Amino acid sequence: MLGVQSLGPVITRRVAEDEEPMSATTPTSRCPRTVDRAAMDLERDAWVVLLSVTGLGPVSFGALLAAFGSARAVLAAASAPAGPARLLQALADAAASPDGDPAAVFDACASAETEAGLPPSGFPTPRRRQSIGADLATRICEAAVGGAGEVERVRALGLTAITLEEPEYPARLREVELPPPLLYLRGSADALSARNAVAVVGTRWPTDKGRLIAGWIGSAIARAGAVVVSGLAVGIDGAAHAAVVGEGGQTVAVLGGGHARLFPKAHERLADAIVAAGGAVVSELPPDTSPSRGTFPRRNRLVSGLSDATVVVEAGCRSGALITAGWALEQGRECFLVPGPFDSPASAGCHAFLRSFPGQARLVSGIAELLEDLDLGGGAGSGVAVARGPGAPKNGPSTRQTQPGGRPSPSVPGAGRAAVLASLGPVERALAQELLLGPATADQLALRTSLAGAAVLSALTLLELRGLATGAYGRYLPSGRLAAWSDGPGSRLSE
Amino acid sequence: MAPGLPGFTIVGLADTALQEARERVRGAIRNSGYEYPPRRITVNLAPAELRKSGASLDLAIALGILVGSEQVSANGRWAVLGELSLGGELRSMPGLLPMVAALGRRTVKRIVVPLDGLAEARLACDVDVVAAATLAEAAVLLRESRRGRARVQPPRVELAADGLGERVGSDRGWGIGVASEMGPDLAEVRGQLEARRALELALAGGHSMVMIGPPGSGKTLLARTVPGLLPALDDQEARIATIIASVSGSEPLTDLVRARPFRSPHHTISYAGMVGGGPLLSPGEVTRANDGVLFLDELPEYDRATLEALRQPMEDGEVAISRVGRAAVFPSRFQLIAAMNPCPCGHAGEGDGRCRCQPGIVDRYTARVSGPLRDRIDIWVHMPRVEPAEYVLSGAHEGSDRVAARVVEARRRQMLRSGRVNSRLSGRALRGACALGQAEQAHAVRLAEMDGWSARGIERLLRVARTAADLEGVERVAETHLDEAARFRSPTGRCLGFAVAG
Ligand SMILES: [Zn+2]
Repeated sequence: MLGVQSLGPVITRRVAEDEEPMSATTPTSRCPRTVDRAAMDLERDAWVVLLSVTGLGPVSFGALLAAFGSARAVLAAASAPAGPARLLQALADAAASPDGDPAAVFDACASAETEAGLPPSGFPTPRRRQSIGADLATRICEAAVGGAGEVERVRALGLTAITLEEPEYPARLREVELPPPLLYLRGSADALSARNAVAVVGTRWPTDKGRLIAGWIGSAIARAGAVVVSGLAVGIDGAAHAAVVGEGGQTVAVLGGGHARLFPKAHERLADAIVAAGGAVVSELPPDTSPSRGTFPRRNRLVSGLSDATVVVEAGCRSGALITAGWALEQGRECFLVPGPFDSPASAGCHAFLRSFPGQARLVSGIAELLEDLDLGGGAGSGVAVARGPGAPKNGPSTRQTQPGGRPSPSVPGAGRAAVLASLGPVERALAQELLLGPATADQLALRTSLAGAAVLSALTLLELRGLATGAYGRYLPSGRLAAWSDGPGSRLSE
Repeated sequence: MAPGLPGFTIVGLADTALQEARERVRGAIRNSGYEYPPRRITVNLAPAELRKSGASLDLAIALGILVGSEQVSANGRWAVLGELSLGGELRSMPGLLPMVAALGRRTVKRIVVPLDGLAEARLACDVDVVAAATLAEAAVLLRESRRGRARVQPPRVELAADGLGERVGSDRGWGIGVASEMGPDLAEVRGQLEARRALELALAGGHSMVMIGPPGSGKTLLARTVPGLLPALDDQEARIATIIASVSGSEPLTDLVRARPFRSPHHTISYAGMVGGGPLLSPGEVTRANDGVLFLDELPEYDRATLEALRQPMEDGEVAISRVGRAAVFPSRFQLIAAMNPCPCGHAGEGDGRCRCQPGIVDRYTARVSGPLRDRIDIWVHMPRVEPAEYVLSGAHEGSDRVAARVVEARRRQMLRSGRVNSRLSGRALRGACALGQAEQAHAVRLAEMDGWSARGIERLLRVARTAADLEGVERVAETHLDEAARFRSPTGRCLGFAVAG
């Protein structure tokens, strides 16, 4: 029955809306169970099967668990002759019980969007609810018969499923309202439960400068020993992930779809690199779920939920990154926004958010200041607990002491860049220094360094081949060790 | 010609244009002061199994009727070519030059051609060509053979040529030097250091090239400098170009074609317009750009099938086209130069967050340039927008003349070494031409692995590196040349991928 307890907040979501989320008050009820490992595996498989059923969201899943005691029991009941009727009854009972809001049960069935915990656009009529419930019961029964395939699929893709009942489930995420019952994981589970985790998110259409800053923040956080969480999107997300990978650090990418439908395709290699560097790629959706309009906001709630704080680098007025920032505040986490020029469309959302949430949303005034505010600044890589805003829930006792592994010992800030610059020839160094000031075209570099065109082109080639510069659309950005944040000597930016 | 009800039949697989000849012939005969015989006329076109088309036989049919009805007498063995109007005027038609040359080979030494096609016909050697402006004049020429020739004596541009290029030629010597018809000078292009270099490499080695940049970055202007950067056609190339121009031209030629072709068809061009075909089996743009440049602006806007169709001509250097019952093979050794926006909105990569194209859409946009065609493009270069401030600050750029001189010299090296430009090298010939040392070989493999290239990708790298070495005037391909070739590699997975994220 522990499973039911842990889903308590799920079932009481609607009634608890005005109060403190129940999750915040009952962390102690969740101690790791000492259950037979094999039984646990079977139960986990049952969760995988059940949660692959279209329309079965956390709410109705919680109702079924409460009625039958375990996912395996649900499946056993569904395989029995009277299966559909019993399931339907259980769903209806849950709806009618004094603890449950009838709407909550059925609106969870309505669509993927409403499952996301977003405000439903409208409750279905009673008759419609009845038919949804019946359809759902039928689908569950079908899954109970043919569900082994889904478990096999998860295994074949090399994914690990982690249920809300297991100690591996990240504690930070357990605390949020309506936590996803199941996580599909590729890579290291440690990364999800690292002592410190910071989300770095932003627009998919950043400016070059925004991209650069995202890289700085990502590398600075990684060097301070914390995990960077983001959404694997192109733009800011990708820049942050890549910077962490460049530092050999751990980063967590939360997908907007299933693992087998990795989006965007252009980031497949980045996802591989994240896993190879000891990080994780995670999704709450069954592997073959296509990403859609509704799944991205849902993903954002996980990004903030997996992190102690969220940093938005650049966001336009309607950027999804602002949704992540909103979730962070709602989940009682800290939220930081990087300001930009007030006339930059890519920063308009950050400014609007800062104005809308004075006293809650915080300003990033520099990398060092950000690390300090995150309480990551102290001894480099000391991993001091992340500061929390007033009223924010305290982290429950971690189910396991995670020691982020596979990360090189943090280097002295700035030493990397200085060493890189010192290793370059005079022409390459001149170009590298220019690039550190901001992205530039070959023509701009030639103009600013007064070097001959041919010399600029061959030096750029060298920098690119050494991984110190990246060309995109004819503009060059510092990359690799040159892109990492540095406040030490050798950086003209720190002058 | 037979007694009986008046009639006019053409037998022997004639097309519609030929069937209409009866109207033109009848009108022309009547309007030239002759009588149209009130008899049954049958025109037999041989060989019977070959489909004949067009209006080039008008004059022959009309004169045949006049001779047959004994209104005109012919003196000796003649060939006549020309299209008639109802009023009896003679007009030239596409393909006059190769027809004259072919007749010359069949030892027909006296040929009547329309006056407006005389200069073109005289580009053929060893043939006595006389011109007539009307049907009546042609009839007179037939009767008074020798006198007619003396009447028209335009300057002749010709030369005894070997092989088929064949009976078309000129004695103007080797065409190394710069073609006369030039676009803007390179000095007029602002900035674009990388694209200038890419273009120089492309022209020096005959490499196909794609320029990617937002609107207004100067892609089209840069492309228009190409004619001023290429050497003129040599004799053999000029002969072929002249024949192609004759076959596809609407205007009669006056001189050998010496300028290297630069064709820039609009993206609305039809499939047949691009590869050739149509009722007359006309050469398409790939043939008209033979030995020259085919410039495609807004590359992804072209019809997909049309772009796909470029592959084979690019690979084989010739294109086979066919229509019911007929087929032709035309040369198509063109160099592809293309331009495209980086994404549908055109602003990707400007770094100001203006581009709002979804990554999927950008992928699909570039994917319109399909993989196999992409594989055949040796050089990719980005052209970022040039800020107005840079206009002012940037110093004087190198002019076309100096770049053209380097291009000519690099091409000369290639012709001496392998008898062809580097872009046409592959396999062992390519490896032999590059003569890589062990270190360089290992370096090439490393470069190729970085992007997960196919074998084709490595060949592409070697070809461009070979050209870089030729521009520098050195025989051995060094690591720096390979590095430069790698710089202009395909942007697939580069602009949109991991690299950008980092
Ligand atoms: Zn765009």
